[in-house]
Amino acid sequence: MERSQLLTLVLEQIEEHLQQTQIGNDASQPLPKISEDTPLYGKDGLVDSLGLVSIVLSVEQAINDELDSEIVIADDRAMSQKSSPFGTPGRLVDYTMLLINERK
Amino acid sequence: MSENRPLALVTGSSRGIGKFICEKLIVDGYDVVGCSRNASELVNAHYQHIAADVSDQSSVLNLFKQIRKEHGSLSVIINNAGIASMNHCLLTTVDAFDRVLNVNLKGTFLVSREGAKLMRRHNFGRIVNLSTVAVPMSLEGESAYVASKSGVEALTKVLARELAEYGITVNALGPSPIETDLIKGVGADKIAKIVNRLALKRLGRVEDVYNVIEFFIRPASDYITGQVIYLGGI
Ligand SMILES: NC(=O)c1ccc[n+]([C@@H]2O[C@H](COP(=O)([O-])OP(=O)(O)OC[C@H]3O[C@@H](n4cnc5c(N)ncnc54)[C@H](OP(=O)(O)O)[C@@H]3O)[C@@H](O)[C@H]2O)c1
Repeated sequence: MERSQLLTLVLEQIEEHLQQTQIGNDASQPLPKISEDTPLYGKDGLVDSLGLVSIVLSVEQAINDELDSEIVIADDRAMSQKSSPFGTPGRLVDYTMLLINERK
Repeated sequence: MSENRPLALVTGSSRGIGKFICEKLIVDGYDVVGCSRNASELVNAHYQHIAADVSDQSSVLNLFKQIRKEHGSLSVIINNAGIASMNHCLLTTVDAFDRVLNVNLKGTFLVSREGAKLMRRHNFGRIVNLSTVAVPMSLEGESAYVASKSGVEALTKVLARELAEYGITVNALGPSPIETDLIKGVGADKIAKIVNRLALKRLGRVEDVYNVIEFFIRPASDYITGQVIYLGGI
């Protein structure tokens, strides 16, 4: 899987999550524009910890379905890193890419 | 296996209580995936056996990979796989302690974690964990076993809270002694002593276990979570 493909997949999952939870519960509000560097979690992040769990699990499942793999994204390394690999979509992509490459 | 029957996963399905639970779930309209390290004697059009060791993460991930691929959804998990080690704490080896904790506690955790990932897709799930009356009895001679099952009860209560928002309930049931391989090695006098501490002085039956399971997994039991029910009156 290419990094660009993975980024698209991650952004899709985030958008789907935001749509489902309708930020601010106002359906008429347009969804915020999300890019690789949008703060996802933490200070000024788009989602709270439960939202992050949902997104990470959806990404994990989408990848495992696509690649027929058994990747666990929220592993010990992810949890113990100084700067969270879930801070922005880009960082989530980089960390997940690492896991995908490691299984080869 | 058919498309419109809900899927249940039963761990430790090759014999004893687990095998009986599988048979009853099939009668009650479920398709059942069972797992244990060895093969199962159960042959039924609605039963699929997948060999897996619940204490081994990669084995559990592989189990769920198959479930995801072949079934796509999961409604019920019965965390039944369990082993016991009956010994005075002074005679309990660290290996025995690790084995019991790994299968009973870590196994329940791993299967629940991976199962809940699948259940949340449909915002519905029922997880039932097997504990034992040995926990409230603080039964002597079973330190590792009782510690592992106390852990299972604590896990049940925390997961109940964490998974509530996904429509998943998590409950536990603690059987009294039931005649299976698990308690083969326990002397008749010791079993009699345990039974005598119950309000209802008889051995448990597999039917008693299923009765509680059937209650927990009903769709109508969606307001019951984080509970432990013991058999026999403790
Ligand atoms: N019988 C009782 O008196 C009693 C009382 C209270 C609670 N319980 C609980 O009820 C549950 C079932 O007990 P039981 O009496 O039916 O025991 P059992 O007859 O010894 O059967 C245990 C089952 O668990 C499976 N198993 C063991 N280790 C496993 C592992 N690492 N991975 C996957 N499967 C594994 C076994 O199959 P393999 O060996 O093929 O893996 C077998 O199918 C246990 O959790 C037990 O603690 C039993």
